[in-house]
Amino acid sequence: MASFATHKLLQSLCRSSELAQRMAAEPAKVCAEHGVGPDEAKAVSSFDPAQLARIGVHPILQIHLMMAVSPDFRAGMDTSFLHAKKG
Amino acid sequence: MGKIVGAFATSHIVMNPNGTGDRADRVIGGMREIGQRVQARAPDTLVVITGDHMFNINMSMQVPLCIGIADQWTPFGEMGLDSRPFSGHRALAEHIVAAAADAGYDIAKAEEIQPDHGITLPLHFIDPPKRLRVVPVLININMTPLPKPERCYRLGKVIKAAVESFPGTERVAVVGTGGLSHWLFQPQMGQVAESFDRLCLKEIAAGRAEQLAKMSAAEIVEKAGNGGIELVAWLAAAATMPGLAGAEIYYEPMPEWLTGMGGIAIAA
Repeated sequence: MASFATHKLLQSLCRSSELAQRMAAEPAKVCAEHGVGPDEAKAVSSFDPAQLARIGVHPILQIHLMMAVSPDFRAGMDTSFLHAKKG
Repeated sequence: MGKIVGAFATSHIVMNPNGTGDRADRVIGGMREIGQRVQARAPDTLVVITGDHMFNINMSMQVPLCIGIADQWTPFGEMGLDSRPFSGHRALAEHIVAAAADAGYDIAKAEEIQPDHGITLPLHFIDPPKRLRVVPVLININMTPLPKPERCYRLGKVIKAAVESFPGTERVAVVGTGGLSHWLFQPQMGQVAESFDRLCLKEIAAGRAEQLAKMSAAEIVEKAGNGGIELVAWLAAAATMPGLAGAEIYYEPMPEWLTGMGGIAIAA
């Protein structure tokens, strides 16, 4: 299981678009600011599922991370097309 | 006294339909039919049993069970979902919490959560105008120990008894949301356990949810993935109409969406 510092950072991403944007642009710096240790910071900054799994990031928070940093991932999860369909 | 007028269960996510052929349309059509069947029962209130996806209940406070008691809810609005507010039902929610305490369930009460897609995606189909009151019942599948299926099933029976002892003539539809099989950021991610999913649909539709609830949480995770444990919400919903047969409304294996998608209606 990853440290609470890592999980606390990742669970904060959905509540701050500014933090999410910074996470995408400068993840190592953001991790350092939030007290994430070097090994976990390296894994988080890679955005690599294998590395995130290695340090034990909760799967739901892996989704939060990918939604924050990956436009493609966000696009895949987007439900806006429903609004064009009869509800 | 209050009355359970229908019990329903459905998957609670959709993703980009590109590349899914007509399966996405069939899933969405099934979700729409669930919505129509709920509406046909003319409920006053929905009790929606689901999990929170760490938009509210996260690693900071790991609450096993939580019921929303507020008068109004503002959704989180993730994934482009509707974030318009909808009503809660404080009196019924408090009544369920009290009844659950008498039955041995200590349930956290929430005044301030922002319902996520576990609630708002089904509501898109069930109640587009946001006329109904909603009592969120959150089962935490993201913490350890995992919720026991049998305990979740019994919780559904507690909810049924609570509704039926609630003063007045409240008509309540219960909707369990989540599942079916999916592995989130696990080596099997993208696999769908179609035979297990179909077994669950068949058993619940035949009124045998109680037997299904005899599986352990570990067994469900083994067969249906770490996300498949959301089945406990289905079991709790089915328990509000115990033993009654229902109808399978839709099922599609959707590996593109990383999950099996299904829905069921009981006594509706």
